[in-house]
Amino acid sequence: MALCILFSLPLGKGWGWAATPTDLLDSASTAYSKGNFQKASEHYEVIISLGYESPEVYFNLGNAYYKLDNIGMSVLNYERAKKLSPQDEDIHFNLKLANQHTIDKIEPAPKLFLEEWWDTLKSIHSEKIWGLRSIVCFMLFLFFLGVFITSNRLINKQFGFWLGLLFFVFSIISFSVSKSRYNDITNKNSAVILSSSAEIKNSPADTGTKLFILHEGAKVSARETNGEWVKVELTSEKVGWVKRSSIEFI
Amino acid sequence: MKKNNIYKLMFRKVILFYFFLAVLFSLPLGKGWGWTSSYAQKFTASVNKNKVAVGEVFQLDFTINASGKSFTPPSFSDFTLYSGPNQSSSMQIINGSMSQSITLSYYVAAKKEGTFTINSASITVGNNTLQSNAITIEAVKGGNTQQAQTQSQGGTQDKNSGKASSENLFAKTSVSKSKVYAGEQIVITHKVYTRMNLKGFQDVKFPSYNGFWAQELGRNTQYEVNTENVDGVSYNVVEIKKAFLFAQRSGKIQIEPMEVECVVREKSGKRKDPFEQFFGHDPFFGFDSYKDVLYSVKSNAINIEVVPLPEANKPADFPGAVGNFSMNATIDKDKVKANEGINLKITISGKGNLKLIDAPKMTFPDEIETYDPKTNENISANQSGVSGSKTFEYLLIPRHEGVYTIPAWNFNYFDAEKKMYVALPSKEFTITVEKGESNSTSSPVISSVAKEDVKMIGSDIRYIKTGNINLDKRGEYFFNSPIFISGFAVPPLLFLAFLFLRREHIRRNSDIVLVKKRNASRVAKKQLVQAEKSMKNSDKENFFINILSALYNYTEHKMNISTAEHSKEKVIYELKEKNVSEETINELVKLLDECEFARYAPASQSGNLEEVYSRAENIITKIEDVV
Repeated sequence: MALCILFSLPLGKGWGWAATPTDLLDSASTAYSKGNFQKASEHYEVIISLGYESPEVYFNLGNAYYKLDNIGMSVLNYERAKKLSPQDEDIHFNLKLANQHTIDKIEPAPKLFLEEWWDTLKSIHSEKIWGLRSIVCFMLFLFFLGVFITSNRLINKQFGFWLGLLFFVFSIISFSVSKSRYNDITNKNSAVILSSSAEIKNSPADTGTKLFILHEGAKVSARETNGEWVKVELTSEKVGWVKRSSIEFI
Repeated sequence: MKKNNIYKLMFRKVILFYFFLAVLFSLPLGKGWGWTSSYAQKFTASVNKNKVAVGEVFQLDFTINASGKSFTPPSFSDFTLYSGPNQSSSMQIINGSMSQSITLSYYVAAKKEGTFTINSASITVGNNTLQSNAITIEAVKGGNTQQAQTQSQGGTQDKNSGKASSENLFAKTSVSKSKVYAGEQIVITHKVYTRMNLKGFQDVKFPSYNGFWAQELGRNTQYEVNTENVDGVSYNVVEIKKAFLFAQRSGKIQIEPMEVECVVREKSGKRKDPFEQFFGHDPFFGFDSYKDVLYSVKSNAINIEVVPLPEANKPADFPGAVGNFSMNATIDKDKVKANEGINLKITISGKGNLKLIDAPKMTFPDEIETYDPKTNENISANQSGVSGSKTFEYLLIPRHEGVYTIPAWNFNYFDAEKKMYVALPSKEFTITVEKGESNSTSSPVISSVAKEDVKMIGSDIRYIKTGNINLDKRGEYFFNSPIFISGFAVPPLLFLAFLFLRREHIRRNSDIVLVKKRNASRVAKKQLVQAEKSMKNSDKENFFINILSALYNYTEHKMNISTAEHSKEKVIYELKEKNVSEETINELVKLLDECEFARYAPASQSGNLEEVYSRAENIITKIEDVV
């Protein structure tokens, strides 16, 4: 009897107590490769619930949900992965496929040239790299400022001045990009509809007029939160309030 | 007496003649059983019913189709003999040959219930003694004999469904085989047996033969009446339908019963209306009236067990043919121009389920365009079965010149009698195709290797990422982290500190220089005073040492040169930097050289000490003016 319990323990509880995130990752990808998407998704969720995250984990979880035909959760996790790793081609591909299964046709708002340029710039590196870059540029700026100040010779002074200015500009740009990405990641300013259909009302109350209906997997911009209600925006015309329970912030 | 005999004979002959006529007219409907044309001597016994009630009188006939003698009747111990033997004879001429028959009739009735056998009678014909068949009679308990019960007006038809005695009128469905292979031929016959005056049929419902392909046997418009002996009772039999069935699936298949309404002419009772007696519709036999009664009869259902064709040795391209066939294949021409059509005709002929044969699967060269074959059937049925032919016509259009071969193929069928598959080989056809007229619609002869896009066969999400995955604690970002903030805070502080320290250093450094500079001439003067003392004491060595140190210390302090890097060259370089005139520098160098020399030289060569002193004083003053 005791033997039975001993043997059944590792099998039964398994990841319950040996839950190092790396073990969980391994068992999740094994489950996924065997087609046990339910188990894989549970493991990835545990990793996330332990407070860890990475674009790969979100991506894999999105895949598992896609295979389980849970398009809403799939889109949500792909979007989260994309937020952390905007350049990843695989994420874009799978997100596009998942979006093909959604019901609502949502035209992305056209972007200005500068906006697009800025987004591209942001997506090149993570906020960490941009932050480090901004610090390094700032240090170089200080160095050349020092050269400019201490040098007795005219040519050295000129050299120090221009390079110092250049690195100063670099530093400011990098800082801004890093801050912008940081804001993107930390600000909950977009959300995915998770309920199969969600009514968008004109006021944050059940009595509000029904404006339009969105379906599972639709991505919206979240503007503000008022108790149980979140103000969402599709385009500048399609703005309304939706129940917090039917959406999940990216 | 003799004359009398002749008259008697003649009278007999006349009677016979009339009888003969009556028989001829009544033949199609009447009692055709009396005149089977056969040269064989036949001695048969028959009864008009073999299921009787006790006491019911029935007729027992013994018929011989030749003249015989010493007839020995069976014993009638179980029966009461009412009358007989009554002899009657008949003659028939068919196709010029005459046959006659003599019938001896008894009228008997069963004495008690039970099943009795009337044993065979015997008769001698020539040298042979013939035995008649034995007849089984079933006697049931009294009750009324089955008679038509309608008493309606003559000439009208009555529905009297199901009331005719099953002994007098019944339908029967029979098949040639009840266990067959799928596709094997079965003969099904629907017959009506009667001992009544059957006039015709109405509303015949044949079974639908579900699960079979049926080919009906063509039939004359008039029904043929034959005689059949069933359990010793003679019946008039009408074959309503004969068909050939071919099972299309295996398993147990039931053929539902046939239903038919028979019109029977029956004698009705005596007429009460005297007018009708005189002006009835039947003036010749006008004392009796007739009426047509409808009887509905239903045949038996038939169960057929259909066995699938054996799988062993079954050819892969078996077209479903069962029977016995032959094949003939022809092409209309074997030499054509490109884009001209050729007809390949495959004819399957023989007996069997022709209708169910699929087109043979042909393999044609790729360069020949083919279309689905045109199928022609010529199927007919006769007494022996279904036969005919089925033709498959393929239109072949070769697109390019060349010599092509249509390979030989096999037509396979299953021979149900031999229970084996038979393959009929065809011959091989060779087609020569010449260059046709250039046709813009024909595909280009020169084939180019066309590059194809890689086609996406399916679309699915990309696979999960498995490599090294760095797990970060959520909510920990570099931006806004202490390291990040210190990255911006610490370097400027360090920078400012550096600047401050540097300025301090410079300031302190510049103070020392100023002091030294200020003190330079004062120090130099002190040493010059020392040199003056030595000069007065004539201490030449100390004098020069004092002069040298005065000059060196002065330049050191004045130019802010450390003692370590002090050298004549450094001094000259620094003086030049300070824009001291070449002349003064040269004077200084010269004086320093002289002093160095004189310090170690003998006293005689020392020269004028006072002059050296004034020169040193002079140089210091000059440098002091400039720097």
